[in-house]
Amino acid sequence: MKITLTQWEGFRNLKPRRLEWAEGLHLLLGPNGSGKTNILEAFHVLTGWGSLKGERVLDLKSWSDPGRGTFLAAWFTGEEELEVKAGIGSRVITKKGGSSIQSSQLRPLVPSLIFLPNDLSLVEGSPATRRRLLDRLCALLFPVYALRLHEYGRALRQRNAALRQGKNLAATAKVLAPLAAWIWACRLAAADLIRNGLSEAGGLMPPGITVELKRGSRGFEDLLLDFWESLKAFQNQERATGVCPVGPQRDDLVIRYGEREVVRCFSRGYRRRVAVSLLLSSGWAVERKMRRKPVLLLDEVMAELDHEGREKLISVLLKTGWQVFATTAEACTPEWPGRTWSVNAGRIEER
Amino acid sequence: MSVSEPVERLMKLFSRFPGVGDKTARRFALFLLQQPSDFSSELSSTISLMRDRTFCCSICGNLTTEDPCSICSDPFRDRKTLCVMENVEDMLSMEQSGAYSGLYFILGGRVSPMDGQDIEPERLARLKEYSGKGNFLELIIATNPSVEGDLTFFAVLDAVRDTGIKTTRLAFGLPLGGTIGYADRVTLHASIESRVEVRVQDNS
Repeated sequence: MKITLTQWEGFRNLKPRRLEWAEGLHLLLGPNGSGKTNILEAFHVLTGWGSLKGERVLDLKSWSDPGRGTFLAAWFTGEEELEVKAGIGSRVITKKGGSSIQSSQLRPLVPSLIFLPNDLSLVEGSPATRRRLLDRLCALLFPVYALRLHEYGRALRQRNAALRQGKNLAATAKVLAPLAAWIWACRLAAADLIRNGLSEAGGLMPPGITVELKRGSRGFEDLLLDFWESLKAFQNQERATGVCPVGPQRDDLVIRYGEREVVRCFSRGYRRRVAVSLLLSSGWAVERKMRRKPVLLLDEVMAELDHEGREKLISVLLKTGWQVFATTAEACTPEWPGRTWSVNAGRIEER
Repeated sequence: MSVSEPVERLMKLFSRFPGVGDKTARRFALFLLQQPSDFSSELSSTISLMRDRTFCCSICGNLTTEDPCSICSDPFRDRKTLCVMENVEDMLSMEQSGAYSGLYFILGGRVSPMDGQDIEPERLARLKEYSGKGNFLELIIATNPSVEGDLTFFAVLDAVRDTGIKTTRLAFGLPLGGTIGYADRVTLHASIESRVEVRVQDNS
């Protein structure tokens, strides 16, 4: 999918603007606080996702005049022609072609993937960060994934509450087991797709990097049996801590270079290359499974990459054929093979 | 205070009703004032009568003014099927649909440790006793398709396990009268997962 036209009004610090976008690579260049990330955030909202800073979409209003309504619109082409509009006032209204639609229903229609500056934590951060990568990919690939994950989280809270109250845990285990097995099956498939995609990342990172889903369980092949056996094996620990130690909430995506974990043997620059490669692999997974090209939103992705790393990244991005929006504060980017836009105080102009 | 004290009190009472906010409560109170005084008298006496005369059926737990209730004492109901429901509201919806003509058992609660809710053990024991003695051929556990509905389902299933009665649960998937083309992806997935086998009858 590709964004062909966007319009925004009353969004963050951005000045009202209607803009046409070509396919291929776009570089948004401007100083800190100029509004580059806000443009990516507008695309993020229009592709069915939320704020980049964990705020409610309802709070994404004009900084200078919060009482004013916010309007966002985008026209997409590619695998499907789409018109998406979002109005943010006392409530959020999203429309697709004039009919109301839940924003989450837009996600599979216009798959987008985003890389934020703190996504280096994909490599060196907690397992929760890597689970988020898997969850976003799974939410795109498997339509009921987000709902099932939500149900699993609720069932887990019910079990922890039952544990604290000293109640019978049998019913909660029966609810959790099929949900856990289903989530594991999805995550295993997603991890496989990411692993396959890494080989397409070209020379962006050294060959020999592997990713593997480490389940929060004893690791039996039969996923349902694995949940039950693991629950049995850790029941004393569960009783002692009052928290269920088994299940997808304990999963991790282990990234290794040979026998060692990447975080122990790579420099920050290379860790960033690995993090970007994981995102690109997710993009290939989306393209392969959903037969739709994703839109890539890359915030300050060039930071900490050396000249060679930047050239390799640009070459890989070109090879994908996807529409890419990258931001950078530095003008030292090598020859950019796409369009360059300068962003300043919320205004955007083509250079 | 911009309205008289009794009106204010009534508005506060109305706003405690489920689904009624401050504005609707005000509308209700002002509506009552606009009606003849007979209407208010009838309403208050009906409420008092309802409170005085309504109790739970000793067999199924339905709200009734006679024991057993009109459903349990109806000779034309299918007495081979028992439908277990969380509350009277769900049962009334089922009755209004006309889809079911068997007997009911109201649990009077659901399982949700997070909200401090549980089914009273006496109620589950009563269900076991009733289903065991009632010559039922099928027991339908009609709980909601949610985590709490699942927890309630398993609690009921556990209670009636020894009775040996065929136990079923309500299906979920495509809405009747809808079209596949307009169904969202989540509903389509749920209906694919809960698809049922078609039995081909040989009429030749």
